Amino acid sequence: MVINDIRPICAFFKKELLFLLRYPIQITCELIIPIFNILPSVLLALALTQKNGLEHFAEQSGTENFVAFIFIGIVFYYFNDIQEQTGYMLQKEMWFGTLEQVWFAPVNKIFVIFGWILFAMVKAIIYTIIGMLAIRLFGFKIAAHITYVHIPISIADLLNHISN
Amino acid sequence: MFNVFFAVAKKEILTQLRYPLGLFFNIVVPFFLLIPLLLVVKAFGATDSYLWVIIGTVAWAWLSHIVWSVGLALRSEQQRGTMEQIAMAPTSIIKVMIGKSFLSLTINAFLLIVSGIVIAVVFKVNTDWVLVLINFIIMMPFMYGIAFLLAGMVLNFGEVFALFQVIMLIFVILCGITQPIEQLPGVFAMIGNVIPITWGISLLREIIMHNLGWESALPIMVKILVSGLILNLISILFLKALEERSKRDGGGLYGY
Repeated sequence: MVINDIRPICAFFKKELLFLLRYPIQITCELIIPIFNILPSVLLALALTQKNGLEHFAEQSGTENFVAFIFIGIVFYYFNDIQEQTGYMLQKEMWFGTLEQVWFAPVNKIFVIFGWILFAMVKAIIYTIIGMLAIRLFGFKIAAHITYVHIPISIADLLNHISN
Repeated sequence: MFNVFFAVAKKEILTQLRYPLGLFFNIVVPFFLLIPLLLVVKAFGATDSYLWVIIGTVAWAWLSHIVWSVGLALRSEQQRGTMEQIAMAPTSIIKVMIGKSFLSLTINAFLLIVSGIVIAVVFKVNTDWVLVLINFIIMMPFMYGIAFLLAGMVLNFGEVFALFQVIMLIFVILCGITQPIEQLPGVFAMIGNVIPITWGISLLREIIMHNLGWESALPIMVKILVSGLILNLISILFLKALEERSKRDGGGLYGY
């Protein structure tokens, strides 16, 4: 029963992966997006630090590590984006005219959606790892004093330890 | 020419009216792009930088919409399976794409109007708004040029959403949209300084924040317009060549 449930999830995950691999330019850019996602906010923060110093920021946020602070927000955005990605994948099937076939397939529809969620989640984790590597590459440090109650932040924490 | 333009614009209006939630999303989403940046500024206590950030971000939100709406127009047609009909229609693909951008630019003009009112009332800015409007208009050819180039990429590569995102983010960084261009390392600052959008956004800030007049603005505006028109010409030729190739070998006319 459980294996039967997992099979459609894996099938839809594989389908999305194959679709991504079909377009080399798409997968190349997907891998570098996290680097460019972080930069505008970090550069703005750097400019403001030079202008106003870090005192006000430290008072407001409880940390002087503004890069880690911004990065945690961006990681949250990556994981929050899973819901948008899932909706987009369903819309994509509508546009391609293949939703009817997918919907009438002899599997529970919830597992189809779980397949899309799994794909979006793996993408969010890869984005987080690349983002973290980019921050290190730019010479910033992330001190991982993160509370465990926030699931996406905890994943970032865990990945940070793994990459260490 | 205008028949094609209005027919495509009407089609887009009908499509948009069919999905009112999408219309609501288009109006509301730019404000949510602006708020996180303003909160970063607030966290650093640099409330005097609000206006600087708002001008850059709002202008970019509107200008980048040209690229998104025109550039991705062909991709949505590919996905819906209607690209072949458009390519075979007895009209230029360029006219179709400009017609497609009309509605989304009009919707997004709402953001410009609201932001203009906020800037005038909250920040008590009293500037020449006609000059501001003209500055927006003269930046449009450059953005359409970028959009046509990227639309050519759609015909060549198919799925290009991530490529668009990367290119747009590179522009945000290099053109000093969210941070001063001096913040960038030497080479990047140099590249940023030769992009007409950098001149346009910087000019917009000067007009709104320092009341720059017509005399000082005019030479820069001419420079932006001329470079935009040159890029437009190059990108239209590029797109036409790719369109012809697609019609010959059928590549780029399908969603897969």
